[in-house]
Amino acid sequence: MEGRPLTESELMERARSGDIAAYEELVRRYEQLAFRAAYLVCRDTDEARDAAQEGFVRAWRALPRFRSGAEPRPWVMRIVVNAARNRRRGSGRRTNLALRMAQDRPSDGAAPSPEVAVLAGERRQALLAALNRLRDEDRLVLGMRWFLEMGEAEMAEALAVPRGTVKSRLSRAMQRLREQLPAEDGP
Amino acid sequence: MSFEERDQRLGAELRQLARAIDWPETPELAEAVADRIADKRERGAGRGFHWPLARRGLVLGLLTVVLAVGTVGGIGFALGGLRINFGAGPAASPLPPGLILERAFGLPTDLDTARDALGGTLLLPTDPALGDPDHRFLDEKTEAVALAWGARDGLPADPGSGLSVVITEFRADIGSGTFTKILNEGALIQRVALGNTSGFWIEGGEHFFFFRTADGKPLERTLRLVGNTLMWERDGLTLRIEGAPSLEDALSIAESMQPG
Repeated sequence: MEGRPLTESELMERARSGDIAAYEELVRRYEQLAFRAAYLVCRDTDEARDAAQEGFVRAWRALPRFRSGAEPRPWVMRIVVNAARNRRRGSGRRTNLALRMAQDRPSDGAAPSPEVAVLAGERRQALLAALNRLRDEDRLVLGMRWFLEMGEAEMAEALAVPRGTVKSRLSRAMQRLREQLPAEDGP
Repeated sequence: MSFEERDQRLGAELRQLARAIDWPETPELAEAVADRIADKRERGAGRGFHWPLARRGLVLGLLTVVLAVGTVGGIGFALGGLRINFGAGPAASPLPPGLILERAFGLPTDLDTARDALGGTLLLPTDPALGDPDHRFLDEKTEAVALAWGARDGLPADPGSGLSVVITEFRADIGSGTFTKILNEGALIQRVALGNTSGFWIEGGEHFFFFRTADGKPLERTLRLVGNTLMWERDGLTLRIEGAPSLEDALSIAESMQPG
């Protein structure tokens, strides 16, 4: 057994040879990102959980087709996002994205984080409301870029589009978000 | 302030907002995923995966039709321009597999032309299992587009045609019966859920696919035997996937399809 944690690529190689434990570890490393990406698409906790799980199972089945040496994370994310999109299409639910700010949660004694304190409350609420009004694809690209901190190259792989398309989608989504926001003061 | 500066400022706000978001707690997925994978192995389900599908409720109903030739002739149903008939296949012999490429799909084309032929919408699978199609065809008579893939890992090619998966797309608003599918003895049909629509999975037995000319005669050159097939409608198109080894493989490909 190695003295260091295996890299994601090493885990992927082991998984490709049939090592379920290695794949389980890979899922553990990706599950938060996958769940949150699925949540951005599905806008429902249960649907997002099921979509993420389904995506991981499908990715396991597709492992023989994984290109050796490629980055595992965007490849897995593409399958998860596809599973979430399909689940979203199949669901009659059209709930608002239930993103809430930490300080808005029912009082449990937790103090707001410093980052929350920095943001002006009204502006933050307006930004969140504007995000909720955006169409699904706009919210997804903005969420992947800014909330999940995915780079454009990784997004391109996960969304199965060229990198230039990611740039243009982001630009358009930012424009539409601005249009949803009240005018700002200042120059 | 320039657009670029405004984008940078808005991006900074979004980045700050991200730190304040109260995400739902991430469920523990790893163990459940490993259990599902191991469970599948133990059951020896291979690539079929039918029972988990049923558990997930994807299979809406099973029409299990083991057809007795001659007893159910004439019964059929339509799906977006595709007429499906139960009964014996046409008298003409199917084309030899080696001729499929040059005679059954039309002429080689490019994706832009294919998209135009379909009225501006062409759906392409984004499943990494497939990647880009190796061949693209357009039948100008029917404006049907066929995308074909050679062998992929886990998706062996048919020895005759050299193809593994074929996806056919045509506009669903064409007259029902222009395309016809004939199911022969032993064919099994399942109705399956696909997103917010449903489709049909046809497995086993012999089934033929051809289209009719304007005067109703079957055009023999398109007559051919096809493999297991998933058919459904989406975005005004009727889509067919042939060659996927199992229903789950076909669904995985179908669900990954996006306008391209």
